[in-house]
Order: sequence, then C-alpha cells, then structure tokens
Amino acid sequence: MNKHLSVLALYARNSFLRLLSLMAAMGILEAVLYVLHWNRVDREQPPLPAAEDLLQGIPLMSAAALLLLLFLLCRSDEEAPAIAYTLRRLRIPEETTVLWKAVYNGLCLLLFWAVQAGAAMGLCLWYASVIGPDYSSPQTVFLAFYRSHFFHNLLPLDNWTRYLRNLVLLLSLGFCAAVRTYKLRRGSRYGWGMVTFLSGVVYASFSAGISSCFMDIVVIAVSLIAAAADAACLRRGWRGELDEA
Amino acid sequence: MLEIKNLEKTYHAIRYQKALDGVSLTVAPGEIVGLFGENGAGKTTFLKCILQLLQYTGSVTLDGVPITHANIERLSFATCEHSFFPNLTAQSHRDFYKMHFPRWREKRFQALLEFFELPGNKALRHFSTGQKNQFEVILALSQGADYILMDEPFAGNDVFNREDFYKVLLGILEPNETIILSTHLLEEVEHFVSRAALLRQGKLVGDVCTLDLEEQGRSLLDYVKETYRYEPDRVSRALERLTEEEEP
Repeated sequence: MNKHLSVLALYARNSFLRLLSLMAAMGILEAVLYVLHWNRVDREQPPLPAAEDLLQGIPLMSAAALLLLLFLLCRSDEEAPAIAYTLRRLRIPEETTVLWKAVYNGLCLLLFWAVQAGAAMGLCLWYASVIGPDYSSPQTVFLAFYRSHFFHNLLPLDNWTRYLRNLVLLLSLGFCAAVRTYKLRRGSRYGWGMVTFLSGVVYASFSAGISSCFMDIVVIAVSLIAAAADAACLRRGWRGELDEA
Repeated sequence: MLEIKNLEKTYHAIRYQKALDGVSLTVAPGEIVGLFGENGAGKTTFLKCILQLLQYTGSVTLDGVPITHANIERLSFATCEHSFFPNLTAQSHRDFYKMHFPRWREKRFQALLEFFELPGNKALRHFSTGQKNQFEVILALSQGADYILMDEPFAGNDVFNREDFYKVLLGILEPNETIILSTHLLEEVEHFVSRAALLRQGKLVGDVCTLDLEEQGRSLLDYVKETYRYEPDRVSRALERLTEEEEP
C-alpha cells in the first residue's frame, strides 16, 4: 500500500501548494468583488438588494479559477514523455499511477467545490451581518442559496440528485484530466478534447440553472460516458502512439 | 546475463523505417559496454527496447527470463531527456525511489549528491543542465540495479565534470554492476569502457573488447573509423568540389 500512497504523495508534492494558493486567491478575489458591489449599493434607498444580487462576475471568476486549476492539474511534471521511463519501471503498473492521479485530481476538484461553496456561504453570512437585523432574517442565507442558480448548484440544500450530479461530474473531470496527461505522455496531440468538453458541462451545469432532476441524470450520464471513453483508452494502453513517440 | 537476440524495430510513422535490424548482443555482469554510432544509428531505440519502452520483435532476456514488471527494477536508465520529476527536490526523489526500488543505495546517493555539491532541498527545475544530468546519473546509480543503461548522460556537462564522473563511476561500481553507455564521446570513454559495440543504420557492425584493441596497438577511434570505412580525405574532396563550383 505504501508504494501506492507514495504515488499519491508524489502528485500532491508536485502541485498541491499551487492549487491551494489558487483556491485562496479565488476566495479573496471573490470577496473583494462582492464587497465592491456592496459598496456601490445606495444604502439610503431601501429595499436593499438580496445577497445573491451582488454576485455579478463571481460565477465567471469561479469558472476561470476552475480552468486554471485544471490547467495546473494537467500541466504537471508527468506529461513529459521521459517521465514515462520512470513511471514504467515502478513496482506498480503505469496505468495504476494514472488511477492514483485521477483520485488526486478528483480530491482537488472536490476541495475546489468545497472552497467555492464555503466562500459563497461566507459572503452570504457577511452580507446578512452588514445589512443588520432590520433587513436580514435567519432565512436570508437559506433564501440566497434557494434563489441563485450558482449558489443553489454549489449547495443544493435537499436536492440529492444535484449533489450526486456534482460529485460524478467533478470525479469524471478529474479522471479525464488524469488520462489526458497519460495520453500526452504517450505522444497523443489531442488530449484536451474530453477535458474541454467536461469543463464546458461543469460551467453550464453550475451557472445556467439546470433545475430538473431529469437534466441532472442527463449530466450524470454524459459524465459517465466521457469517463468510460477515456477508461477504454487507458485499458487499451494507447500502445500505438507510444511507439511513435 | 543480458541477452538480446535478433532485435528488430520499425517506426511506422517514419515511412516504416527500420531503426533496428536484427541486433544481437550478450552483455555479461560487470561489463562496461560503450554503445557507439552516428546520429540515427539506433542507439537510443536499442536502449528503449531493452527497457521495454518500445514494442519490438526479437527477444530480450535477463538471466534467461523476459523483462517484465517482476524484474524491471534490475535495470536503471539515465537519459539526457531527464526522467525525473522537475518540481520535486532531490530528497523527495530519494523518498519516492526508496519506496519503489527495494535495493536503493542510500549511502551511494548521499555520497554522490555531496560529491557533486547538489542541493538536496531545491526543486530540480532550478538546477543547471549539468546538474540535472548529474542527478539523472546519480538516480540511475543509486537505484540498486544490476544493469545501468545510460543514453548520452553527459550532454551539456563540461569536460572536467565528465572526467570526474568517469573516475567516480570506476571507483564505486561493484563487480556485478553492468553499464551500457551510449555516447558520441569516443575518445573520452575509451579508457572507461571494457567493450565497444558499434551500430550503423540499425545493425550491429562492430563488437570488440578494448583490451584486445590495446594489445593490437589500435585506438578505439581507429577501430570505429575502420569499421565505418571512414574516408579521411572526404572533407578535403568536398571542399575542393565546392571551390570548383564557385569559380567562374
């Protein structure tokens, strides 16, 4: 087991600090943007806007941070063909190292989701505290997460298919990003396809307000199909292209 | 014993070009084999086939057994392409390699790191090219492998540095450790290698013990020139032709 964990530790040592810095920067920038929107509000003229009305630009910032995160996950050491010389001489098969990379990517994306949800929650709580008890109620935060598509997709309250959708979507994206690194190492020039496609699905899913349970199931199915297609590549071993690398 | 029999490799992407054409070579434990040849002769392909990094026809066996996951740890590889993780430090590599190569040579690793004054806690991407080459070779030597394959490991190092490395290598190698070194630096490694294998257009065209050459009073360079049928006046003839063409 130690040799498996050492591979996971290798990936973490490689990029985790940078990813944490990115998430922290995203949280700070979103807070700054939110406060800037709040400062533009005319507080002498009630009614005051709702917490979710000050969100302009934040979903876009979150999407940009997600893309950067994916870029960092994909553009790591392991994509260089020469790294395969080491990975293929380890005591575990190279394909297993890709699975560990997928686990690492998945955990990072779930952490990203948690950080983004935490930041959103923090902003709402902050807003409720600054507008004071005259304009806020214990329901303020709850209502913000109910009314805003972006907030609701981050923390879908009791909508369990939405949690499942987010989980499957992010894990599939992590898996495809790991396989992309593997393909690139093996000489493929077209590794970005599946990652780009799933990133688009993530953006659409989190910001466009897909609300029905049916659409959640469609997104789950699409994510699983994308991951299965890449799993087939991994299973085949991408031998042909390695040879020509 | 590393036995390579009728090794053939064709690159389909490069007009079905045969990179290796029926190469057979047997390397006994303790030998230091220099692998020589012009650019494109098939040296790197040969090493990569031994390491099972490429598909090929023919057979490569280690003590009579095909090379698989079970015995691949008996081979190590130092390449000028650099197979380490640039974002990690030397000490992080040590931790990782120790986990995957049970015969890891800790003492040798630390001694070589100290000898070449390589920082242990600096990410390798900040190393100079020479330092990266040194670290690549240190990793290959410390892995605890019986067969150490090197592909132009000193490309980018200065002559003094390379000289140091040969001396250190000769000093630390144990009798059962075998080296296959692919390089263009013929004259430099002449006194380091015990055997020379010559590749040309994917074929093994020469295989000689350097001791035999010494006894015959011939240098390795002479042997290579003879084997390749090198024409010493080739350059002067070409220059003459060139000058003729330019005259009105």
